[in-house]
Amino acid sequence: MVTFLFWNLKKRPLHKNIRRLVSVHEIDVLMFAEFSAEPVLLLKTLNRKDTSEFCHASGICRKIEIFTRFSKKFISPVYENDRLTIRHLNLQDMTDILLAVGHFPSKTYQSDMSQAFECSELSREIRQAEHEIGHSRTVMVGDFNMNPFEDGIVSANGFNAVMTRDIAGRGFRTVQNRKYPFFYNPMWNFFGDASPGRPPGTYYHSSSEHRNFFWNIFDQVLIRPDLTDSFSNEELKILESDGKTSFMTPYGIPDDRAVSDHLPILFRLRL
Amino acid sequence: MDDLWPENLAANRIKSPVTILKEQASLLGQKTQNAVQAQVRSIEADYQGYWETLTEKEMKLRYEFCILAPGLGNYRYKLFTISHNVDLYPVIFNLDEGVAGEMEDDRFEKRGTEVLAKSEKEFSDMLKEILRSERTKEIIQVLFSQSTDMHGDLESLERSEA
Repeated sequence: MVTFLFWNLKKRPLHKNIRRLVSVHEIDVLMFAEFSAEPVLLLKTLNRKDTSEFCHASGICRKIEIFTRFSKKFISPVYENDRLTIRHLNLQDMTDILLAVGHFPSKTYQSDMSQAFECSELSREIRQAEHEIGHSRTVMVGDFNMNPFEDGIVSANGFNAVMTRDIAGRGFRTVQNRKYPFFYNPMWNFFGDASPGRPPGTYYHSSSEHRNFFWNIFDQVLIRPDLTDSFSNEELKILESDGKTSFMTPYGIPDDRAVSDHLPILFRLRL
Repeated sequence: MDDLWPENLAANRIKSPVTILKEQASLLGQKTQNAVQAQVRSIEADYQGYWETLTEKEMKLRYEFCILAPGLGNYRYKLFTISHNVDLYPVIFNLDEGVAGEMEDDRFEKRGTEVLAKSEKEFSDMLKEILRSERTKEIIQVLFSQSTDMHGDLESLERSEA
């Protein structure tokens, strides 16, 4: 079992919160967006006597930082651009996978249409990496700045990410004679009051516009059908505390002043 | 029969953007003992950016320009893409954010990470800016160092490739 955590830190030095999360959930792979500190400072906080040694698995992509409990040689980058890093996670005695991590453009700077077009490019890059590595055991995680129902996530030439395992299990769908492989998007389960955890999203935004979702799930994990047998829905959580400090305000929304405007997501894969 | 065609039809051959890219790509390996190379690949044209929407033209030809490190498991970093229609020019560059951040706004027609080159001259000028940018140099230097660290010396890398 390998435990992963993704969190947009809003450029905050949340080292103590991260250390507690690592300790409580026995996290193996930490993935951050908007990480602004020196990596060595987080390593100093993480690598104390009661936790195993973490290392900084650096890449050239500036938008994502990755830290792992194992040697960085087991999580080498195979493809990167300015917003996406694709790693080949190849641990001893475990099934190797591709781990794609991204932080995609914000709605502040890009229209919904531009975001969707960008997704088609990112999706093509992931397919290319899968072709080169020779399999599609891929997990894509990150801050998409889009909800699971938006065009870039659901459209065939975007991420083609669907809400059920059954549909994803069909492998691919064909549009205009072109085949597009599915992702399974388990984040759909977290919308609204029936969310398995208490938070009904990872990011809260209230505005005076006519269309307002309030809660958004911008932080998502997408899983290729070849990897869904390694994933159980119970092993995916949106976290609202580190066991000691709450990430929420008393009003039940992410505490963007003391912590971050995004909540972290935690998931496990049996590899 | 009279020849109605004009003289010297092939005299003023326009160099296509992809030809220029491939010429420049071929030079990087020579400068780094092949530890770091550049690769130009054709990609599917199912993408529209700002300029295409603006001009309502379908950009049918797209290429990506990647920096490649053969000694690091064929690691690739996408530096930019270009797209254009069958007329060759104008060309739209979609740049790495770091490279785009270094560009002087008044020299090129720029919107975010997209830059418009209207002629072969503008295309070459833009390409020169990209290849000489601090971000591009940083990427190449990091990959060169990692490749040499991994393989001890470049001769061993060349032997392993052979």
